[in-house]
Amino acid sequence: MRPVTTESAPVRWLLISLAVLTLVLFLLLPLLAVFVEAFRRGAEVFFASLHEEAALSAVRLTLIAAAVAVPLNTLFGLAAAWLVTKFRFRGRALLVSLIDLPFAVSPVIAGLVWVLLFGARGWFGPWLAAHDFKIIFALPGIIVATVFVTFPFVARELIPLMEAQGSDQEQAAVTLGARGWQIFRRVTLPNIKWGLLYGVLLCNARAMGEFGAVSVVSGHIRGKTNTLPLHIEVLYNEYQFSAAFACATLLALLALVTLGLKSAVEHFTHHQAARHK
Amino acid sequence: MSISIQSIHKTFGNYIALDDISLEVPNGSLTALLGPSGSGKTTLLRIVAGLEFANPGSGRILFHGEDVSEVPAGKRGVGFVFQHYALFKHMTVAQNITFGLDVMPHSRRPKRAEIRERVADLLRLVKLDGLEKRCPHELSGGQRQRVALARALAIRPKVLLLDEPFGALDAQVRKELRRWLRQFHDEIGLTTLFVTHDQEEALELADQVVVMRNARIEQTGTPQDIYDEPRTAFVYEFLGEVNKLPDGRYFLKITGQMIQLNNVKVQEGLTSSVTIEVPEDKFSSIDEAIVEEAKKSKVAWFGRELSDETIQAAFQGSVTDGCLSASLAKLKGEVVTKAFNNQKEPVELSTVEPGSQCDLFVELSGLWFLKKSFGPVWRIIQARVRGGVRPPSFPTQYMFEDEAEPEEDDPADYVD
Repeated sequence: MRPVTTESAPVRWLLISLAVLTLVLFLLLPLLAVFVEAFRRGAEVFFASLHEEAALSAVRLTLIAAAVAVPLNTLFGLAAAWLVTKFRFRGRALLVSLIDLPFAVSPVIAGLVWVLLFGARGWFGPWLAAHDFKIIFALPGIIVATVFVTFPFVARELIPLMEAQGSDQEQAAVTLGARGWQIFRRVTLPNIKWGLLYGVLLCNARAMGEFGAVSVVSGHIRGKTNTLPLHIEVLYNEYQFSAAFACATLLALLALVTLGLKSAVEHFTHHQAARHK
Repeated sequence: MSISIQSIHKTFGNYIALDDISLEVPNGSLTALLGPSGSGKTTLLRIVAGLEFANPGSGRILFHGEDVSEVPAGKRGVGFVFQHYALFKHMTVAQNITFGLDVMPHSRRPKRAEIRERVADLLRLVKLDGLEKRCPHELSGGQRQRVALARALAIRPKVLLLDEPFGALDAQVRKELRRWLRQFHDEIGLTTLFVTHDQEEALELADQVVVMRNARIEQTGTPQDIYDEPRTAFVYEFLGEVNKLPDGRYFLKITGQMIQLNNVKVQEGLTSSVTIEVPEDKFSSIDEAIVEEAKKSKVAWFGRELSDETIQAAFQGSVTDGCLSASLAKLKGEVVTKAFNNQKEPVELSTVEPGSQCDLFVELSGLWFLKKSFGPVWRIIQARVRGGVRPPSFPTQYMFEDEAEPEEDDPADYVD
């Protein structure tokens, strides 16, 4: 007799088939297509596309943007989660909603607001021009846009986790004489390490793959302000399909690595949760 | 280290959690804060610990005369044990215990060897030797609780605070740990304040019981005082097993049957009785049933043994022709009775006039019953439904045949 909570065999197979079909159609096939197209003109063209000056510059820019955005947002996420879950204060709910703002906003708008603020005709435009400091159409703009869209990832991961864990252990640490930083380092951090890693992974994946917001602020200056996703679009628009797909494989690989690490984290989280039951 | 709580007032918004609470906890005593949920007992404990603070300007907490009201929890030197232990999940038992010492500033921290020794001593004290390297998830509930206790004690606190320490454990473990805690307290003599909603626990463990309700203290005293002389109806009901439904109706349960009683008068300030009027038609079938019920129940002394209900019922029968009424007559031969008149003077049963009032004592299977006679109408059952009875003050010497004089106890004493 099968367990009450499962379906009968035919239903199960149907559902599994549907899931697999969706996966294949929407995930595997496109991924496969990327690699196939990338090598269509042979391995030589593939590697040449990757070594090209503009491509290398795009990769560098993507890495820099991620290298700035991810640590910043990790710090912010930790601070916000700590604040929101361990303390009760007026405006707490508002803060939590604001943290989610970048998610709710379309990436194009997310980029546009910076143009409106820092662009040549923006609020701070004249001031920036006077000080010869370019944000829009330069690296700082890309960084700002990337930081904005990846803002909530770490916080959103940590807040429910820390809420669920409660503050009992921290209170115990307080009664034992520990001070703020000691409590954070010795009690809170070890408890949230897997959730933190998960959040950082997602934050990184988005930082490297962001297109919309960065596209608006970057100006598409080849070799100067094109991140990898932007560079791929440029190549594609110039009918250099194989080159475009060759660069796309880098992003695809990033996706695969992210997924792999994510699974590993989930495995360890379950392991930890099961142990602590 | 004595604790002095003076005029503490605590509100959360509009909700009054503590209403001008003052309390003295003597040095070395084990004091229980007893009350239903919402009474404020946990809030009070946390304020003593420094995890919460009273409303500004409202009162003070003194440790041995020193004002610690503004001192944060970490610096008060309290050991706090949480209801759900709050052990550090990712640390071993030993690391949990040494946490308080590890976070001390270097200047105050004992040497590593001394720390190790302290941990070993504590583990021995809480009977968990050999478990240093275990992690909390590898321990049972009772073991975790003891680790939490050892952890709190590692910093040599002046005061030990326990928040429903046994609440999360099952009944058997709870009883064992209770006994263990009392012994433990007697050994180390640390001033201890604990919170519980279980009256049995409070009465069994504590030197001083503080009964709380709705942000106020109802009564403070030794377990014996509180039990014997509850000052308010709430204390009486909370400690005993009064047959009262949550909506305020009283009932009497006889052989599984619930009989609702009307016109209940609870006399405040009195010791331990509730006077209940039973509708007349309910009566004729009751006498036998009450007797049966009484036969089944045991006399127990609260806190010493498992307590069952003891129904000590007194009810009025009719005395006709100087004899006991039909129901009592049935019992004649099994019971012995002695009669006392209004002036509490012994009278000969046969001389009692019909319709007159007298106290009749009926003994049945080792239990004494007082039957008041008020005439031909069954009127009142005086029921003390409690977890205990006091044999010494009960009349045990009065035998109808014997004519023995009362020795030390006058049955009139216990009649209110």
